[in-house]
Amino acid sequence: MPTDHVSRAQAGDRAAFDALYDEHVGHVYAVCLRMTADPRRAERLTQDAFVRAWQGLPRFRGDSRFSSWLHRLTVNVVLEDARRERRREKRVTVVADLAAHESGVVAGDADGRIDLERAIAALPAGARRALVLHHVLGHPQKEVAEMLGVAVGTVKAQVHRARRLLREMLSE
Amino acid sequence: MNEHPRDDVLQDLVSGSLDSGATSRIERHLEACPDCRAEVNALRSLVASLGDLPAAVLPGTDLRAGIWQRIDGEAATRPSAASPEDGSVASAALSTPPRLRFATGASRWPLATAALVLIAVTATVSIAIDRGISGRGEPADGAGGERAGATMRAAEARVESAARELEALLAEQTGMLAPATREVINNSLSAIDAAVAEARTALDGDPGNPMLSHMLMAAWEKKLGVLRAASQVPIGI
Repeated sequence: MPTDHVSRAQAGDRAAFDALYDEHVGHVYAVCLRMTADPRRAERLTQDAFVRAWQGLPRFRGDSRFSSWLHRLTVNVVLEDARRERRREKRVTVVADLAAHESGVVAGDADGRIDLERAIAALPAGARRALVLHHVLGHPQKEVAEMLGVAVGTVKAQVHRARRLLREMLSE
Repeated sequence: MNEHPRDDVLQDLVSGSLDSGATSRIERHLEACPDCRAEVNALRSLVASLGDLPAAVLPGTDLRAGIWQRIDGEAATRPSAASPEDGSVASAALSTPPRLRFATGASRWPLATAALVLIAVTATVSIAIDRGISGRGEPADGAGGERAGATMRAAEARVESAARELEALLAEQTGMLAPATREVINNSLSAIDAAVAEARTALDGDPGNPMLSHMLMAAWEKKLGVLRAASQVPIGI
């Protein structure tokens, strides 16, 4: 069943949608940031995701949780953007501009996590996307293959490569 | 197993993607091989760390203003009912304008007029509704509400006229659409018509209610959006 905020937002209540933004922006932005390793692009894609969520809300029937629906929508937004950018995609190493990771969200073993975030950001795009979808977001490899439009073997190879590179970077 | 397993095999072990026979063989090897055991432990630790990363990372700035700006901008230029689904079908980017497929030449002008009418009417109605709301954001009554109601009626008449133009154009192009597509369009329009009627009835019963006015205009916007999408009107005409 849709939550109160979801129901109200579906009826056009902007304050309710603002509340949904507050509740979910951290997850949406985290997905965008880890998949793209580019804070500015992640902000743009986060906006895309929420705009699309607003537009798609009338069709959300509550068969799944809103958070799951929004998560899947966000992943789609990021992957579509990646497909468009693929031709000019280069290895992005946005190490200097990862202040967002340190904006009070990372607590506890912060140093280790930031190192890991930086290492993920430094991965080649394909390997990073496969790794984030599988290991960070928890999608099975078969599902990742469907999302990326590639064979399961390709996902497996990308994840292997990503893990190997991460270990190399983290051991330096 | 005397030879060290390959790196990818150890990774498969950590992923749990090896069959039971291979898993048993590798585990027997690990019992006797501290190097491979250390390798597997390091991999498991890495995978656990990835899973433990914070689920939420806040952006450096509040993105809400930009989101609403885009929603309002696109509501005036793009159909919400034709917006991408959340499902598995890859859809066009929000920043990617739709391609013109059917509407060409002179037939674009009625559509351009309809789009401009929608933008102007939406702005007019928003102003009217806003003026009908008191400074505390509460619905107004009396003269303010009546003025908003009158403006609403006038605006609705203009939107209706724009919708009729688009419907006429769509009727000309219907033959170019697949039967299934026609059915989808007709179903969408029927649902939106019901929403328009419902909002109109509610507003008749409570003429000064700004929320109902917004809902009615949103329903009209949606109808024009579907009609525009079905007629393949490009953004920014």
